[in-house]
Amino acid sequence: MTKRLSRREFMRNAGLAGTGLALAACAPVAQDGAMDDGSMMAEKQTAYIFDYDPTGTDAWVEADQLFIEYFTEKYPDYEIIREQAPWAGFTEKLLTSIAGGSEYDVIYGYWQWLPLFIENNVIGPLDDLIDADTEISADDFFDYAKETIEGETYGLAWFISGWLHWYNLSAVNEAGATTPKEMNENGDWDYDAWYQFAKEYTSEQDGVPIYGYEMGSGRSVSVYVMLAWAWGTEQWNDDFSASIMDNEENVALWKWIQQFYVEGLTPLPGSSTTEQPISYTNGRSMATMAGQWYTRTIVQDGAPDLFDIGMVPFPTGPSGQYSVAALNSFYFSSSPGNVDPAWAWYKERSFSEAAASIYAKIGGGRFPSIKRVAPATVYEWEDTEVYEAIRPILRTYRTSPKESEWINTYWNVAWDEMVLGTRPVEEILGQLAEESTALVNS
Amino acid sequence: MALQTKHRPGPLARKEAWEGRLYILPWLAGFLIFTIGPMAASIYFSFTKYSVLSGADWLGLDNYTKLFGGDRLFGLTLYNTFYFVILSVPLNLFAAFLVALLLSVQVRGINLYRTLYYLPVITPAVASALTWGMLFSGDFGLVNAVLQALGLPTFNWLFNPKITKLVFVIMGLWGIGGSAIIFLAGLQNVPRVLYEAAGIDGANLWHRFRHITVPMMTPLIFFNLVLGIIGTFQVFTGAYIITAGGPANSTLFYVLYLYNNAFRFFKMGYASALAWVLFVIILVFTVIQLRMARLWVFYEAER
Repeated sequence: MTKRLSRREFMRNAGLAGTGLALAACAPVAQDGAMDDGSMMAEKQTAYIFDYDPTGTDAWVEADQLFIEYFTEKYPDYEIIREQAPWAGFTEKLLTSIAGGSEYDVIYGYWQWLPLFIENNVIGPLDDLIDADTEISADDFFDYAKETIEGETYGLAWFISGWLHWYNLSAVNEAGATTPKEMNENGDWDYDAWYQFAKEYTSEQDGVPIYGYEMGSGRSVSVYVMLAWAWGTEQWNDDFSASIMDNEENVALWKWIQQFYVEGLTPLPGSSTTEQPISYTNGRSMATMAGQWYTRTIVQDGAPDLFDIGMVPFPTGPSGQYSVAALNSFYFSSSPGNVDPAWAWYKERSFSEAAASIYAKIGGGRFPSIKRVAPATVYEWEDTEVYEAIRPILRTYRTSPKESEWINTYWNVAWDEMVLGTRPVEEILGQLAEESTALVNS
Repeated sequence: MALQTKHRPGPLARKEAWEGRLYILPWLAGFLIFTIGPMAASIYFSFTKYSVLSGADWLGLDNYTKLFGGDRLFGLTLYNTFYFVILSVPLNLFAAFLVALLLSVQVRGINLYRTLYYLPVITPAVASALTWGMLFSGDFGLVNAVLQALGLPTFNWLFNPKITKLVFVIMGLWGIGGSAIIFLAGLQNVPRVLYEAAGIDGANLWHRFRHITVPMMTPLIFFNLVLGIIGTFQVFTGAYIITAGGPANSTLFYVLYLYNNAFRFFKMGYASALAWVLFVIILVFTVIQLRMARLWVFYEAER
């Protein structure tokens, strides 16, 4: 016999069920690893990694998978649990996750984030781990490849990117001109030759502008960073107490960069979209600047089918110096849970032969911070001489203590104004220096 | 003299009252924990230096002093936001009203038109921001392509500080469907008899619109005005996705600056102070509107 529920009874039961479900949802859940076969899980030591999520870049996803397989086979007693976040909003997700109680032993890094992580005590120095390790010593690494702040090393780069000048070799050959590589060999490859190259190859085809140079990604501080040392300058004085952005060398460099924009030799930000890019790889710009990782983009975009790829180091600048290295390191937690598996993972992932070989998939020319592992070469058109030439002459980029805030609050505005030519460079840099100094002293 | 008697609720009424309290408990708990709690916490944090990852250090009024005394970007973001509000709110109201008038005309397929105008309201904000970013792209955007085809000058819309805010004002028109639907509902509720009486008195179309439609719609205009001002003061998504506040900070709106402080620089205390200042600004504007409403909003029930 079935009993019909009255409306009131139905409402009461539904309310009680809802409240019960809400309370159940608030109850603590079992932690990973607290499983029935506790004896099996207890033997494994777990390291928690907060990693970059490369979804969309198949080669990277595949390399990650291969590396994890390699690691778990080599270290059967270690378990790796990875949480991943895409590049956009990476620091926001990481720090709010930590604030919410998550703990990570190893964290994917980027030089602009380093001060933020240190300031918030998210990461700690590696020096004690390196000193205690019997397989490596600090001397095994290029000095410039160590991410160091106030004498303490926080990262050993898993790959180093010395930026290069990539040019359309076919176009230069068709014009019967001297290639930048030949100029480099003849000692004629300097910043004026670079500018002349951009001017020479800026044109128009069927009403569509072809740019002689693609200066890089919009407001990125990287373009400046890669060139500043060659011009004999940087952003800060020795102890980071004052900005030197308004010195003569910086003014000269910014004016050199600015002429590319105001003369239309490079596209203005906003001219290119994801759907319709102005890119070196599609022939809409005749040259560009990027690190070795760009080899993957070149291949993915099919550029070698369109034209011959030319590559040459940046020229040494007016100061007689070369360029800085762009470092990609992992960082180590300030309070790691399981040091052994985390440090094993850190070492393998950052500078083992196996990792270098596996991650060559995501672009040739990469080399880690350790001297004994050579740059990986993947594609036949890669010029390994270029990699070898730049490897010993790079220099550390010095990161300011308030890098992220500085870039987002002041740098981007100054860069926009320089690109637009709204004010004289001296005036823009004067204000930038003043505001930057105030920021680092606040 | 009326005899007053006190009725003691019976067992059933008491039981139902308890059940009622039980039913609203989940919502009430959620409201207290997830709305009132964070609001109260943010008042406290606004007087501290707090990065989320470590404890809050008491600063007293320092965050507010810095806001009003030493932060150039605070003034700039207020300027950008007011600029946007002043242009966007009247334009959106006018456009929504106009669209509602058109949608109130009975023509074939009117339901389809109504759906189409409302569609942008349910489009994810990020998707529409990306689409608008492509439309206004300097080199390949459809907007410039159309201007070029018409022989008109083209612009680098997203990289010219003089016009970038206008792009966001234009983008704002995309979302008028919500207000238009409210206006449409109001238009359909204006009593026909008023138009008929006016017609007998010789009123033409304009007179009927001016002296019947508009006065009868003033409560809804007021409603959309209040919500519009509150919403536009919080403009964020487009600037975050398309321009990231640039070029030259021309689209660094108030909430984007607040977000940068909170989640890029992890200055939660300062961001909380910014949030409370915005709250006060919006409150003041809303109170002013409520006071002014007595002068121009017509409520039929009050007559």
